[in-house]
Amino acid sequence: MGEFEQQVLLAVLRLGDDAYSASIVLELEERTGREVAPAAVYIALRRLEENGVTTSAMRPPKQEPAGRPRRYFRVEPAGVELLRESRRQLVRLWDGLDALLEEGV
Amino acid sequence: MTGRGPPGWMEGLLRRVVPEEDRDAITGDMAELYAVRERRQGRLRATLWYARNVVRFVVAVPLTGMRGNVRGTGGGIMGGWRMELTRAARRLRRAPVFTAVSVLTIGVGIGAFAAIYGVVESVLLEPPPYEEPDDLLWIWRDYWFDLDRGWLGGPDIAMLREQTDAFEGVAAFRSDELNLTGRDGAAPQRVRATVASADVFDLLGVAPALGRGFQPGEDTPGAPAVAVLGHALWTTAFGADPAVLGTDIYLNGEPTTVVGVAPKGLHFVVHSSLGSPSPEGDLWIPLRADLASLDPHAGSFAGLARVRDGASPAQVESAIDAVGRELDAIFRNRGLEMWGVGLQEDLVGGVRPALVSLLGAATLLLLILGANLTALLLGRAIRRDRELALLSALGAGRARVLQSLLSESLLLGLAGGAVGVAIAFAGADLIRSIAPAGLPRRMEIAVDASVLTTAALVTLVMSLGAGLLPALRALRDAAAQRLREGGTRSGAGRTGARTRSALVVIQVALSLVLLVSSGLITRAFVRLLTADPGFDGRDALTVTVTLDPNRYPEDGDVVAFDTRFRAAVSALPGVERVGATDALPLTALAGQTGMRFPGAPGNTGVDEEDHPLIDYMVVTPGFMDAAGMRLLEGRRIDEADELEGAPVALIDDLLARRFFANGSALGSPLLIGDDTLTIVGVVDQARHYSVQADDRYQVYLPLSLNATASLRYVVAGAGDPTRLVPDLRRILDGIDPTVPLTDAGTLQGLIEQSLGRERLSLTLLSVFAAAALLLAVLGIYGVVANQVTQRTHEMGVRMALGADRSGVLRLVLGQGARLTVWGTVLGLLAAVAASRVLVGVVAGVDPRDPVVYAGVALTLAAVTLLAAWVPARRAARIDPTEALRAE
Repeated sequence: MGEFEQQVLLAVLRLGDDAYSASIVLELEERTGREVAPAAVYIALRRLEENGVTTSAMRPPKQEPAGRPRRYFRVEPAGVELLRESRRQLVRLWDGLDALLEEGV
Repeated sequence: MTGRGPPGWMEGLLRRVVPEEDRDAITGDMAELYAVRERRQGRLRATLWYARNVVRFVVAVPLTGMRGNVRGTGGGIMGGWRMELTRAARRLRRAPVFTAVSVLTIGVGIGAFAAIYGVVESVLLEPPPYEEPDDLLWIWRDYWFDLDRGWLGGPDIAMLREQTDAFEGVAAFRSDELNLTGRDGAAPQRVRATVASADVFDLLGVAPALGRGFQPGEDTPGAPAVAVLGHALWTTAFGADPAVLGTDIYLNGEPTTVVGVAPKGLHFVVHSSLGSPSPEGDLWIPLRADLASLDPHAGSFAGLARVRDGASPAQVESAIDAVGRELDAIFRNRGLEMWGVGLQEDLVGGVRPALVSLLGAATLLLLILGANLTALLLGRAIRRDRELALLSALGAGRARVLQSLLSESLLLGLAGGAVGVAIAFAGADLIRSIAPAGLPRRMEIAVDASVLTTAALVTLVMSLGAGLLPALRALRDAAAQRLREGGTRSGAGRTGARTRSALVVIQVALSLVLLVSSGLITRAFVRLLTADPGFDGRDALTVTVTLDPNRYPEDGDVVAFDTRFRAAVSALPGVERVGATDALPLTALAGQTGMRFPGAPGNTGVDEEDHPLIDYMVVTPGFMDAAGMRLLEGRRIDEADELEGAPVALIDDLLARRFFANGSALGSPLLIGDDTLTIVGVVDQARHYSVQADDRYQVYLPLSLNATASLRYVVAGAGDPTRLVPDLRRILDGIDPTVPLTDAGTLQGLIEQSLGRERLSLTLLSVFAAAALLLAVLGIYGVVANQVTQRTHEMGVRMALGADRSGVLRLVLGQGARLTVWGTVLGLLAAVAASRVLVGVVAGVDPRDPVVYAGVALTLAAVTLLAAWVPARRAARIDPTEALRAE
């Protein structure tokens, strides 16, 4: 799983019931402060779904049942496990470097 | 506020590339993101963002292997194109010279065409920026002499306003020049004002950018002075400060309240009665006069009427006729007429021939470039013969071969179009900067979306059209035959060579048309430039000095200023002659009035003929000498005339011939209204409207008879006269620092300015003609050089069999000569037909000028033969043994 896919996955997790491609783009832009291409998000979501990390369904928004149907994404247990594993790896790599890399030093 | 959503065609493109099951979700999500962007950054940025990201989908989705389109033919064709375009791009990268030449060829053609089209569109096609401009009419009248556009009197406007069935309203306009100063009268600035009735903004349907327009009643006599600033003046003189609203500015010393700022881009052009549009105004002030009570004889206004909704053209015409009849009755039924002209037509009718012929020239250039591009692509297709033959032999369908060939021209078109757009933008800037001030709507010249769309369409047609001929040729010839033909060098590609020769003939012919056109215009232009304007002082300096009527209320004040200023200027080292007038030559600023010559032998007894309309201007002593005007008889206006207000006048040679054909005019009386003047001199007419002969009469009066606020001084002396400007300003500061000194130039400058429109046509045509000539030369060189390369073997055989080098040289040169002769003959025929269009472009064009035809044909022949001579020499140097061994 690449870094960008990981970011997309985290955004889906954070958005919960409201994760569709537009909300994910805005969430990522807000958190990273960079412009995010919807095409990249779309492709990442397709890949994640092909690999069984996420599932998706077309449905109207929960808050407004008459609204435009969107493709909503949900992280599957396998995806949560992937994120955990990648976090564990990162933490191991970070171990002992905090003093060196702490910001503001 | 939400906008209209992303552009439909971009959304359509997006729908095409994304998989069907996600189509609605993705386009919906993208529309949502677009709306967010639009809210945060505005529509333009949102649209650009959208376009960028649709392109990302277009590029990225196919890469993932997802099927964009419905399975079947659609996707297959798109897929095939994508593949072919990628391959074509790779091939083009491997042929950088061919690619660069083709891209430049397309770029230059599209750029020139789009720039000219931009001008034509901005000036001729684009509706003026007013509400329903088609309902706006200028209304003109004539007097007891013919005028193209005679100004209306105040009562005419009042009478037109009563025709409420036909008109919603009728506004009166005139233009004026005023001194704009600060409160203390310092830093004087000359501004052009559009003086109009209060309904002007409502009539045009234009809302001010800031503040308000005029209110009813603000155009009545004695109303408080108000002004609406033009956007440009507001920006330059007031730093675009909104706080200027409600403050006072000083116009000719009168405190005037700023009530509004006109919107940016409101370029309102008042058509003067003399046929040329007066420049755009810097500000708007209401015309404070009771129109109905003004003298009906004094025509002073342009009238602009808005036709009432639902009024038929017949109704409008009969309303104007009715007023015309009333007017004629006032003038004792001398047959006066009144008529209306559509606003846009009135403004641009005069420049249409020039612009249309320029567009024609740009189209010709485009055709030449198209022929050139076709030849390039054809040459390339011939070189690819083997590859294509192999492709067919391996079972590729016709569609594949066609795709393969057209995808190259498509890519070239894309790149060339981009270069063309850049050239068009630069070209439009250039044209705007060299366009004469008299070109209507000059400031609106721009390359906009519709120009770009046209350019894109033309590019597509040009590149596909040029690619089509080689592609069809590839399809027509049987694959096997091409394998054979491509397999041997000798006698190869005969069909291709014939087509290329035909293309060169076309190029030569079209170039000749452009060259002849530019030659004819050049000859006419040179004639105009060197024509005798009736004065000799071309190098003399001209400046305008404007006196505020509030500070110089009496005629005597103006005369005293002039006397003092002239004395001081004459004392400057290097100054030899100085004098002033109110209307310099070639500026069309003279006043006009009817005059009589009682007792003159030329009177006919018919009142209309013996009471001609005459241009009159005041001159101060020294003016005629400074401008180099020629005195034919009698004396000039001298200091005593100016100081004493002597009732004397000078007439021009036209008047002298008309009224005093067999004797002297000196001492005869001249009647202006009830005033009798004595003719004391006859001068050669200094042209006032055009350097060609004017057919209007002129009378010159002393300043004291008609003291004017705007004095235009002419200073003649040794050396460059413009160096005197700072000295003149210093002298003015000593006399009155509030007097502005403007419009520094030379009399030669006035001549050139009066030819500005002709110069623009000439410059552009010459550039096109030069480009065309270059292309024709390259075309001939290319064809002949190619033939030499392909016939190396044949030449070798000929020489081995005893042909001498000069024989080979003649053979190859003859080939170039044949192309030249055919092209020249066809071109001459086409040029004769095309030259008729040029007659309206520059005065005095002789469409049959034999010198131009002969000169152009000979030049073209010489240059193209030279182009053929280079490869011919190479052919003559062929070593027969080498040539044969190479085979």
